[in-house]
Amino acid sequence: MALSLIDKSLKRISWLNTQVGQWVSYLNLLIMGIVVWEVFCRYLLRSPTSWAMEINQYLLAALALLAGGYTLLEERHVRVDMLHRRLPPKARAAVEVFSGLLILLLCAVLLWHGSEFAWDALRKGKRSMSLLEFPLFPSMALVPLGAFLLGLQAAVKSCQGILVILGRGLDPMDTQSAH
Amino acid sequence: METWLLSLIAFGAMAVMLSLGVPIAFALAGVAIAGTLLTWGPNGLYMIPKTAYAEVTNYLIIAVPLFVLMSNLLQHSGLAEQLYEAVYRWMGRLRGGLAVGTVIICAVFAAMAGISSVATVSMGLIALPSMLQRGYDKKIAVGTISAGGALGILIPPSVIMIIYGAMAEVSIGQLFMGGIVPGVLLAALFCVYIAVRCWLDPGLGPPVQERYSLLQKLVVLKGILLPFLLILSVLGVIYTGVATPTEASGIGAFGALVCALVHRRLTWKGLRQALASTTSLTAMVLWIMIGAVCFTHLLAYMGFSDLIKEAIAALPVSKWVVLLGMQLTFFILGMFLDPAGIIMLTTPIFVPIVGALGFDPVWFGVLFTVNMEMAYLTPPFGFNLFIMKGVVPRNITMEDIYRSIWPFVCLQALGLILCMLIPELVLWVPQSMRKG
Repeated sequence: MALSLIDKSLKRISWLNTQVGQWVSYLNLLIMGIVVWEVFCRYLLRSPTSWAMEINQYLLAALALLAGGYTLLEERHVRVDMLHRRLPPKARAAVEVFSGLLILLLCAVLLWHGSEFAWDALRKGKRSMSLLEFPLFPSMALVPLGAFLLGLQAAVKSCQGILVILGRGLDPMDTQSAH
Repeated sequence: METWLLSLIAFGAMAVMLSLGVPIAFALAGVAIAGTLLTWGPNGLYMIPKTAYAEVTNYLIIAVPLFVLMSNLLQHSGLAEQLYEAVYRWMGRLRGGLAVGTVIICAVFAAMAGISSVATVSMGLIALPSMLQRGYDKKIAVGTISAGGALGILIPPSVIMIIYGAMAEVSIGQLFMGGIVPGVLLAALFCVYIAVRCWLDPGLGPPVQERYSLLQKLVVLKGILLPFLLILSVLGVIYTGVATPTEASGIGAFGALVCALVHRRLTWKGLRQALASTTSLTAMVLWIMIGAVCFTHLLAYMGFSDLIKEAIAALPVSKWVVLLGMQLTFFILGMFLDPAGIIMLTTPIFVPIVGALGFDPVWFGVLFTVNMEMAYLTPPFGFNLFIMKGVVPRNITMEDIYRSIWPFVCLQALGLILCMLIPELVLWVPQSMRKG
């Protein structure tokens, strides 16, 4: 019973990160469109925009930070897998648990200090030091938000690893191919 | 605690985690956080979100997703088929002509794509079956495509160079221009090697029997027009200094999208796949950058760069030995890691050394990239080996693939040595750009 509940939440988290990953990937097209528009304005109309590159910097932040969990789910974070692939399933699961905990440590730091940092920007109404003077809170809030999504997925990774060690789950490497 | 002891513990922990298979981004971040807590205390952790924010809003990095997107879209453009058809009609009758032509297509693709997988996958799917069917030696065919595909990161645009430039604070435009001559040099070495081998032993690359009229040969050239316009618009604007690499990357991605739409090859599913794969690659790169910069802060706080400078000054060998040692390190790391990871692991240590020794950082960045050409081919972790394994017919084994690449790795090493001995090969184009 408890196990199926865990299983359900793990699946929900993975579903959430898949959705987030797919939606933020459209930002690539938006970033491209903005660059093309900027080039058009700058070189053909001779009147560069003041916003294009700065907005793109915030979009890049959204793309990279929010997709961290999706990238973990897709196993696209680079690693040296020569030894890893050859470990017995339980040892491999132990490495997965350890990796998950390391990621949770990073996410905890980003979530905790990052929230302070974003809250501070909101409270003081901080704006960028450019012509645009864009509010900094939304892009700064992406740091703890992205850390939260990545942390959730790291928790999934650790739980799956623990289930394997307890002999109750599938090898995370095998479940990976099921997505 | 002593700086050297701390550094030793930090690097030791990193080595253990990496070899166990902890993702590089989180091994770097984990060591950085633990080290910061140990030396600085909890207050030091304030730096980490600020650093992360600064990295993910780096203006230069906007070019990474755009060049990757451009490459992923080119894969759906049908350009590879057209280029191969041109090579087939024009060069098929020469001994080894298809393999030489494949290297040329790879070089052309490298001038449009910022990553190596596009040419490797496309040629693996198009040129490989065609060559094998016409009796080409499997080692020549497989080796040609693996080595030619790797040119993607050396001939500009190059995602690896953008990452290096952003981490080492070197001009990305200059790095791009520095990659042109070494890239063409490597392609030429491959072509000469293939031509000589097939000339001596026509059984390795037999001439194609079909004949084409001049008209048939000319007609196929229209397929070359679009790629050349694309190359010209991306590299031309960077060379002349009209546009920044980031602006060029946007134009390039847009051009690739237009190409794919014009040829009616892009499906909705293909587009979504291209976008998803661009997203995970970008996130991967940026999360490693976050980890790497946290680690760099820790090293700086521990006084590691002073330690290195003292050690270098006290070193009883010439600066060339140090340079050679660094290249050897890159080569060895290249067997196990991917180039983006190697940049993040080594720039915090190597870039200050290179500066202290008085080497040109643009030259060093290009040497690094030439070295990474080998990383794509050397087992056990050679990225192109895995791509090839995915596309070869069943009768070609992993052993065959391993054996096919050695001549090409030697040629790449030769290219690297030439670029080290004759720095003008690298620096000539960027310097002419500086003057211009």
